[in-house]
Amino acid sequence: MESNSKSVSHTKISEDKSSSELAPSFSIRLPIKFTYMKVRLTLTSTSTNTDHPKAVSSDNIVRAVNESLLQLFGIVGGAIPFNVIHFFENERAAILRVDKSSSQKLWNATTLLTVFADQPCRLEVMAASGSLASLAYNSQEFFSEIISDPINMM
Amino acid sequence: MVRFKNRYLMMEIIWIDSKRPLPNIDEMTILNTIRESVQINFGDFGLGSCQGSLQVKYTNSLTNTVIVRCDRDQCQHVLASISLITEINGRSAMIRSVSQAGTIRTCREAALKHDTSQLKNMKAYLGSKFEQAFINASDKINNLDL
Repeated sequence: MESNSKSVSHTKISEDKSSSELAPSFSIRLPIKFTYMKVRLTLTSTSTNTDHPKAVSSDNIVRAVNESLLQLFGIVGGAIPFNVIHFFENERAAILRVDKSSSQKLWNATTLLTVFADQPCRLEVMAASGSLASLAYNSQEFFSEIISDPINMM
Repeated sequence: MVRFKNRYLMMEIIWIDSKRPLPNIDEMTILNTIRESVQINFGDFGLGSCQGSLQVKYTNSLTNTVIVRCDRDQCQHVLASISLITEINGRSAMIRSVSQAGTIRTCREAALKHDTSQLKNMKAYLGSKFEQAFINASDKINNLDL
């Protein structure tokens, strides 16, 4: 369902009502093929928190989500293709990409993932969008970062 | 008024090793096999959504006919899972779809036609038991309920 529509409209340049100067403005709609989700893994381990026998990596996340998909949606669900676009080491987050038609199933699977390498865990979706640009930065975190680290930010 | 729309699938079981005597199949065996197949192929979620209306209405060990009832929206999932069944009770088998019907009446007619023609083909093998088998099958089919 390709919807590559291009529409041309005209916006007035000046506030003057009598002015007849018009500037052309274009709007292009691109079809959305993928859903990009930013997920964060939280390990709630009851034992000592300092040593984690298994490091969290993008492969581990893929394997864990695949297991959850297999259990929840069977063989058909385990065949859903998805990728890890980027993995943030420091905050144990990742950006997953999945086809738009199976995005709901992937979201369900990440929500119902409870065990990660024999530890209880929570893999929650922080943001989901049709474009990567919307996941690039979180304006709410922007101000908290300025307050906590003003020298580096300025 | 919400109507639960069902699909009645008529299937035929084909045993791969046709060693006589063929096993005696009953409703519970087939139902458990189908449930297991749905769980493997479509997961917990698939099984949960199919389970509501899933029922085996009629089985005939002589002609290997089975009638399965399922929800209309889950018909594709159930059909796919049934096609992927490879063994029943440990014996290799495959299940072939003969016809689908939306109402029990159409299904009854199709089942009668199929079963009676199959029984007639087996007349030589059955011998004296043919009459009884014929009456049993037609009775059971005509008494099929929703």
